[in-house]
Amino acid sequence: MKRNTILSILIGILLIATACKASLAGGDSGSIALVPFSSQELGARGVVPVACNQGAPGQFDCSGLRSGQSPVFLVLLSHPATLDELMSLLLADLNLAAAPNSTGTLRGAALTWELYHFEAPLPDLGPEILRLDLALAEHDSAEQGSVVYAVALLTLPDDYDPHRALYETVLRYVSHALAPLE
Amino acid sequence: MTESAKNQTREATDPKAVRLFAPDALRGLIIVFMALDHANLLVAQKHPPGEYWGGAFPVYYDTLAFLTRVVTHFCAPGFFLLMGLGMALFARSRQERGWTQWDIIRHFLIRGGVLIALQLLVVNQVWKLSPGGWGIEIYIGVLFALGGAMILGSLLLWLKPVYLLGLTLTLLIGTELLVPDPSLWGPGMSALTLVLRLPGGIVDPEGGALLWSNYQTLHWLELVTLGLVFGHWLADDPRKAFGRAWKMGLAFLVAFLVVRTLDGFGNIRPRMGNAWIDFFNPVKYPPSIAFTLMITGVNLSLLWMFSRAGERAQRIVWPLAVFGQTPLFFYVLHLLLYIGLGHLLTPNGTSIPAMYPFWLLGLLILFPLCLGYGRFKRRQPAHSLLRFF
Repeated sequence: MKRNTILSILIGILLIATACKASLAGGDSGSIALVPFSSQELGARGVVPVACNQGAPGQFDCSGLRSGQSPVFLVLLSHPATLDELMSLLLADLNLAAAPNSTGTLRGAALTWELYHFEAPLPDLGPEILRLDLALAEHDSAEQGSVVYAVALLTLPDDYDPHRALYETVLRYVSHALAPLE
Repeated sequence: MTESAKNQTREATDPKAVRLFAPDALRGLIIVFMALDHANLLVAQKHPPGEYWGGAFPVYYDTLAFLTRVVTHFCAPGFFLLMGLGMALFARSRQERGWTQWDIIRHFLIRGGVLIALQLLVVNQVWKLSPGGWGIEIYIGVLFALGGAMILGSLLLWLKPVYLLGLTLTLLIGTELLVPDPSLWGPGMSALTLVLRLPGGIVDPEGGALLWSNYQTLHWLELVTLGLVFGHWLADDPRKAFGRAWKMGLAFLVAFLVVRTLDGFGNIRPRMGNAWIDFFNPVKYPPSIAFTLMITGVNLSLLWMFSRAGERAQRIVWPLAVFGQTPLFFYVLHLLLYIGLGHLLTPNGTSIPAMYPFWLLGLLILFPLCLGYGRFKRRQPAHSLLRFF
């Protein structure tokens, strides 16, 4: 009995060791820690990854999210406008003729988000093409009228695919939790 | 073979002493999962942060990472439940041998004290050897709370099961009312609050912690009182008791689905998202009602399943019972072993899939040691300190 048990465990180790080749890229942990935040400047509260360091209000350097040197930025903003007005401003900034189609909708805890993705050189950040994953939600309040909330994740296109699950998760959870301050 | 005989294994040296197979097998299973959690921390260095009542909360973008964490949730609640169950069975058997109530209480006071001392004097020093760093001066971990719960539980041993059930329900709901709003998480909690009431820590300016507390006796006592109930039921009629475990386990799981779906009281903080992983990722520190219902529902169902194991199935899962009969010995040794494996083979960590063979390797090494120690401790006299391990 004892010999059979030990043999079984040994075979199990060999089998699992073989299967281990299909591991996550870069040895990512598969999890991120989200921490609550609240900002009077944005007029919003929500969560952001612990690994993201805030520079200016709503602007986070998230390069520490995973191993590697590529920059990753998370930008949260609110703007008194309608969704169409904000999109027009954005297209002008990015020198794009037309808005891309929405890639989906996300129902958050407080807001419903339209999701987009662009690849373009961004103003003030040099000629390098960046990937911009964007979530936009419009909220009407009696005090402020229409306000658009935006969650944007900026990455290098080559860096996106190896960490796609991580980046999608960040955008999804941050958008899900973002809510206007009452 | 009768039902009760099927679920019992005879002790080596005392022909009158029998052990129930199902609690040992369940304890062994959760010990194996605990080793996985610690291999994740010490070998892979990919352990997610804890699921606390406030502050940071983990979310997952890899299913394996989540499953690796969630199966280890069965450990702490299982330990407390089975400790209560074992205490009641122990008290009954010792009373039959002529021990007085005071003899039994004194035994548990000493045993609980040993667990607390082991946490503070030995295990905390071992944690400081972690390959990824530790940075906590005084850690209030699971052994501390188990010791405290054993001491308190010893005073409740002679309550009737119906009163113990009432106390369990009171503690389940009452302790959740002690948890403040998650927005109040942060510095400023006193050491007494951290030890008695709320998980968290006193963090020093360099990023370490002077004190960190994950397990408060009061929050976990409800599982000991539930375990006491099952211990009494098992002593009276094992077949009926295991049947109740299945029914109660199912009821707990249904209640979990309701509490989690409503996402209000019983969850301590709202779900982080709408994915299925978020549904099964409740607050553990302290154990929310949702967490306790989910995990204890599964643990009770597993207890029933192990009780139904025939001779052939018992032979297959017998290694679990070997681990389950030497839990404290396993606990101390497995920490040292995985710390050693981490330092020697993966000093900078590794991926979670690559950690699995190391976890199994650890179990393979620990198995003969636990088997040998189990035989050794059964030869010790009833009062021997070595039997505590």
